[in-house]
Amino acid sequence: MLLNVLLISRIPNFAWGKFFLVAKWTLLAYGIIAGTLEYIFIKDGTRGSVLLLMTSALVLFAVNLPIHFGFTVARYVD
Amino acid sequence: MTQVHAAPSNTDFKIVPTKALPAVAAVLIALIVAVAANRLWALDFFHVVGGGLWTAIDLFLGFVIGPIIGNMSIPARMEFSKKSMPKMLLLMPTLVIMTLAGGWQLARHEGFILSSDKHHGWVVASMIVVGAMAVIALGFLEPANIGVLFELKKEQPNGEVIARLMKRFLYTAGLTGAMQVATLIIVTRIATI
Repeated sequence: MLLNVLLISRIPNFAWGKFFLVAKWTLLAYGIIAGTLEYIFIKDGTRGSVLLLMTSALVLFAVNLPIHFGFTVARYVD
Repeated sequence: MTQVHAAPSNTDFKIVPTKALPAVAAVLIALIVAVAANRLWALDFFHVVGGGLWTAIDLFLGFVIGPIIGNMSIPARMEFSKKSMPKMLLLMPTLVIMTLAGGWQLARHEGFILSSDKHHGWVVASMIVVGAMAVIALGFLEPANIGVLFELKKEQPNGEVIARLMKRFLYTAGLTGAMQVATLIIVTRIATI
């Protein structure tokens, strides 16, 4: 994820406005999905290091996808 | 890249069809209630209905609609995309979360995720296939969907960009559809062991 951000930040004249427009709404949508999945893990009694691992994976899922989506749109901005 | 501009686009459409958001919210709430109640029928309903529709739509898009669109003119493709892609933007993630959340809870309810269970190997195989599909769908298919919609919103959409992204969308839909067949084999096997 950090590599994604680093590579994007090095693109000259990148359309950051469009990137954040897409990324923030995607973050909201996938945050809801990740929250639903987190609820299921907690309800199922997942605790400790396993919960930490699964939560980390969900955070990665919820944050990295908005970066991908935002980049796909921003790269084609004229 | 060569700029291939299609005819000026009618940009009067919504990328996210907001009228359908209450329906998506209702499905998600019902899914959470099903998980909280842990009722076998409700979990089975979400998993089977979501999975069946997800598979059917993927196969239909990849192997029926895809070749048809491939033979259409760029303006016709754009018109089709403008009508279909906003709906796909809400429909597919909803079906995916229904299938996966319902399926996980169903497997837990029935004890399939226990390593001692006789179905466990098949469940692991299913999760490997689903993991690969998730990477393809979320990393390639969905960004292409959103990219097409934003391109169509421009005053002068670039037909070449739309064609390229639509090709990516349809190929990945077909690929995940084909992988869904593997999932169908696995789940029907689990149900009959």
